[in-house]
Amino acid sequence: MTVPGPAPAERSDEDLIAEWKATGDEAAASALVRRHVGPVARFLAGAGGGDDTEDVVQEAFFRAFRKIDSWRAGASFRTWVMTIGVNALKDLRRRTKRHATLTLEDRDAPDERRDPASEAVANDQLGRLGPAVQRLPSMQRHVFLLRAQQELSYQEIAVALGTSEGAARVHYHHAVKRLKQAMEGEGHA
Amino acid sequence: MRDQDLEQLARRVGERAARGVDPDRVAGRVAARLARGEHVRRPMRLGRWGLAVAAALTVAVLTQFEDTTVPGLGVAATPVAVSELDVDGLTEVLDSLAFDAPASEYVGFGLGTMTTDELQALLAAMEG
Repeated sequence: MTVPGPAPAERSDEDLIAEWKATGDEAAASALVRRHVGPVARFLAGAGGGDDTEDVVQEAFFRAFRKIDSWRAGASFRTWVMTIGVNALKDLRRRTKRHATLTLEDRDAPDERRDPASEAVANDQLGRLGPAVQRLPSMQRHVFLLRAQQELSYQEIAVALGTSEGAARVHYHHAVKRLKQAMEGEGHA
Repeated sequence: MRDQDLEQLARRVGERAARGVDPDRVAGRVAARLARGEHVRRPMRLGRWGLAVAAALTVAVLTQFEDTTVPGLGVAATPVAVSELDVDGLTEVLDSLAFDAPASEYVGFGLGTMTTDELQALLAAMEG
């Protein structure tokens, strides 16, 4: 009698990836998708996915599994999928020739930790920040989201985006500067 | 607005759109596409001639900024000394600044001193 192995949800990314590579078992791929889909979706939505976020997320994971041989063991699978998603998003925009609908969608994402008044202010700011993030040059946008939203270190960001830690810091600095200008400028308008 | 307020707010960017993404539906669709042996489809990118034209235009625009230097830009202006960056880093920073940035934001190096390889790297970065 064989002893069943751990459930996919309990296995490491590296195990699941190895299984997908060795056997093409879609259950391993699905387990990886379920594990990382939330943060990947938030990142790609922030990067401009808009109403197409689910399609872009799906494409990012699909491409990741198709080119799994280029994933380096020890690297973060999640961050790698995010960078693939950036290209998938670019391709989608090229194909459809339209930009994400910049809605006020984030205004009504309530944060239960705040009181209603400060929550209203935060929602108003969030409604302005989303479009401002999307107006950033691409490297600044991606560095900013990986740092501020995903809370990655500069070293992790540098590896993910194929740049240096120093350049990532400079991109972040300029992104913050531009966003603050945008927020303060619009706030006074 | 303080940096930490901006960062706190940034953690919520994309929350609502992401909440509409159904993990099971995405996992199912990805698995189905993999099972079908579907290939990745990408739109046509710029060909050799397209790149050549883009490169010529970019060089023409960049030479406008050839002598642009910023005397005061250093550790005090950015958390990292620009002089510590290598050519790739500088190229990326220039790329990120885009052309709508005020001239005072351009880092202090002359594009005229860049080699062909360096310019090609810059163009490659701009191609995205």
